[in-house]
Amino acid sequence: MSELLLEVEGLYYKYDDGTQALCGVDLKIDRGETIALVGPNGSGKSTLLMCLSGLYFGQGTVRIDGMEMTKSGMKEIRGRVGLVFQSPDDQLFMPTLADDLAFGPINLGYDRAKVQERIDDAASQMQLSDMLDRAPYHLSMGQKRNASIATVLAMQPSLLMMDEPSSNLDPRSRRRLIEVLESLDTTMLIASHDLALIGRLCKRTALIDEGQIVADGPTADILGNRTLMEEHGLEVWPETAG
Amino acid sequence: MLAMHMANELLTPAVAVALILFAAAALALASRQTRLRFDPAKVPLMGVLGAFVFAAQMINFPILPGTSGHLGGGVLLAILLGPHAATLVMASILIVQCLIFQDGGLLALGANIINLGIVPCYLGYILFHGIAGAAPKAGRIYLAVFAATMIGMVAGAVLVPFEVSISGVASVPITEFLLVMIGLHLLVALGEAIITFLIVGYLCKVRPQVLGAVADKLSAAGKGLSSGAVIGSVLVVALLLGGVFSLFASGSPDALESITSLEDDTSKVLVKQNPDELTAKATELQERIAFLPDYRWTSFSGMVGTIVTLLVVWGISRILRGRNKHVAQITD
Amino acid sequence: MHHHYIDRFAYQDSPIHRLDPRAKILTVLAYSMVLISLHRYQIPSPGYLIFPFVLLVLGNISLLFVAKHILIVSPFIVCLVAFSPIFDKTPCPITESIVIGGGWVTAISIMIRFVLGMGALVALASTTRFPELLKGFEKLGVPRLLVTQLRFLYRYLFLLVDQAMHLRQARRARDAGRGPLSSRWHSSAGLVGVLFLRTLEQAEHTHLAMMARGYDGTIQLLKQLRWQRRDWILLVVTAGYLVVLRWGNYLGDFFGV
Repeated sequence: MSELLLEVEGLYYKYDDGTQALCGVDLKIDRGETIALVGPNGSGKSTLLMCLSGLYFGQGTVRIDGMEMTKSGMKEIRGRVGLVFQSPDDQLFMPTLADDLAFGPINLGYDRAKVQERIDDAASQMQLSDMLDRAPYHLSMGQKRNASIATVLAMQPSLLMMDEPSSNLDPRSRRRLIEVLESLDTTMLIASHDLALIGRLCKRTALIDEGQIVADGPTADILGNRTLMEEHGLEVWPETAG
Repeated sequence: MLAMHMANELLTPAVAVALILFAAAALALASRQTRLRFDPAKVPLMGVLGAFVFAAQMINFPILPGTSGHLGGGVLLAILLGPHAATLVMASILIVQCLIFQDGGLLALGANIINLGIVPCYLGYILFHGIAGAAPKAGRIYLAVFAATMIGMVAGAVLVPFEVSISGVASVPITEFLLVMIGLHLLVALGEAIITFLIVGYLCKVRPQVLGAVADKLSAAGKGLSSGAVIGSVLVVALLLGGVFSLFASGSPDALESITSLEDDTSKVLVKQNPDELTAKATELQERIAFLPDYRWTSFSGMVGTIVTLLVVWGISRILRGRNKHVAQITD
Repeated sequence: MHHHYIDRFAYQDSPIHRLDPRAKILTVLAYSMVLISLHRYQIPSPGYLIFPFVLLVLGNISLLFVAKHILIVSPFIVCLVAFSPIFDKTPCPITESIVIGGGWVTAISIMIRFVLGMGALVALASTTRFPELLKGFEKLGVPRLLVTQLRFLYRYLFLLVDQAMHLRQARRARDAGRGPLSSRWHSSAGLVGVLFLRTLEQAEHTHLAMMARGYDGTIQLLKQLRWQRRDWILLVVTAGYLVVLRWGNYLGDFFGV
């Protein structure tokens, strides 16, 4: 029996400049699922992730673990939703990797021992254990990406969200990233254009365009549907097409 | 830009400490005014803006073949962010210049923060808004930027001779030193004013919303800079420089005579007291090393000499810096 | 960038690197203070060389690098000091028979002190990683807000400088470094403007990323500084050394006026 983790109902979001980025998004995610979020540029992918991680607040309801996300209630919810930004330079802002991994857990109010435990776990999950003393600019792009994910894993969120995790990676780093992500047992929502990554990691795919979820189903059905994909400015995934 | 960072060794401990205390008090006030304590978003912003100024200095503004200037940043930040935030950003830049690049000593930080941060930012801000008025046209904005940069930077630079002379370590006469600093900074500020105006104009044209409340006020700057304004400001600076020169020429004879007569007296006294060969040699050597021995010309040639020396040494340091940059890129 | 160059030394390891940043900051401050407390006609005795020399040599810092670096930051003081001999002719006897103008003594004294003080400052900066240095200053009472701001400055310095260099290259690819002056000034201003917009964007993204991980206005670092016995030793030895140098029997007394 699957357990409902995230529930989004009629979510609208409008930017200050008047752009309506989300126009009634409905989405349900069960615990343990790995879901891909695909859609053309400007479709509302990133905005949706911002809303789901409690950085933007729109109209409509977002519930995680049955708790409604509100501005005032974020303290409780903060540790349950984690977002990995597309650019590691946004994500990594502390002097050393260890400090970056500690930032989330410390803010969650954990004691020193528990913070240290979280750092060690996250670092070993992302294969960074021997780099904890490094400064972010002394890491390679692949390491930076792993480090970005580790900073969020250290908070052990119920839902791990990622914005384009494989962008700017060379093929080898990308392959390694996919392997590492495969080994995680967290519920994940991955916004990406990388169809191969989605094919490997996600059983289910949601297609978003013009601020609405226009299709939601098994990955092969969505990515292999030529009419649907081309209608929304995307490519067909060759392995499922035909 | 030709930033003159004060060195520890030109100050006495008392003056250095007093200046540090003053700077610290001003920074405390500025950070309270910026409401950093209440707006956590400002903390990363101030930091990243400091990095911006360093990065912006990598962009050259060609002057003559082989020569170029770059943004200083103080007055630009004061116009865009207000004086408090600008002062905080400038202070952080000066601290990094001291700690990482060793530009300016640790004990001279107070002096540098006052001269290159607090004074240009606050004075520049007040002058800019005072002159620009409520809804200025492009010409008036340029005038306001020009005056704010000119007076803000020169006022900061003028403090250097005072700080040095109150300390009394280096025995450079204050009038000459003052005039040299003013002369040099008039030139530097001319470039800074034009650069600042062009950047403000660009931002107004491309993305006025990031400027918030000042955007409306500055919108006319997007129309660009007329060549008349540039020629006008070059003329103004030339006139001001001429004024500085003539002050030098007219004001110096008294100082000049006293130096000359003192020099004569002492050498006579010395020779009488120590009719030793060595003394004579030492005096002679000294005369020869002082490369402009005709003291009637001391002040005038002193100023020209200073400017030439400053430019030459500055040029050398730029070359050295440039070379080091390459070394670093290779080792990277 | 010049910066990487000095940073490289800070990431080495040596007995001096391992010292607590507070100990290094305090001793360098005290040393600089003693240096500038000397009278202007007083030439520092050779003993003053010991402090920066020991820090630099034990810290495994190339002296050639230090010398070059001091040369780079010296123009202003050299120019100022060069005029001292012209304006100050007070006779100063070096020995009973050699007398030179006071301006010369001042010039020499200031330059020696400048080189010594800079040596100490370079030693501090190149044996201490900048984030550690900031921790030291924070513990010594520099306001936290300022320290945090400096931390962000340092974090994004490389990033923005790299972007600036890319912008510069992209422009050069288009105009080949030629064109009328006015258009080049406009394009330079445009580049700085672009950089400014990117800066604001970066600051906003960073702030969002911080919020996403529970930022509430305070930032705590993991590893705190540990003051150890060697730090006491450095402090006590330096204090004794400075007292003896400054108030002991020194050469510079000759020039007392």
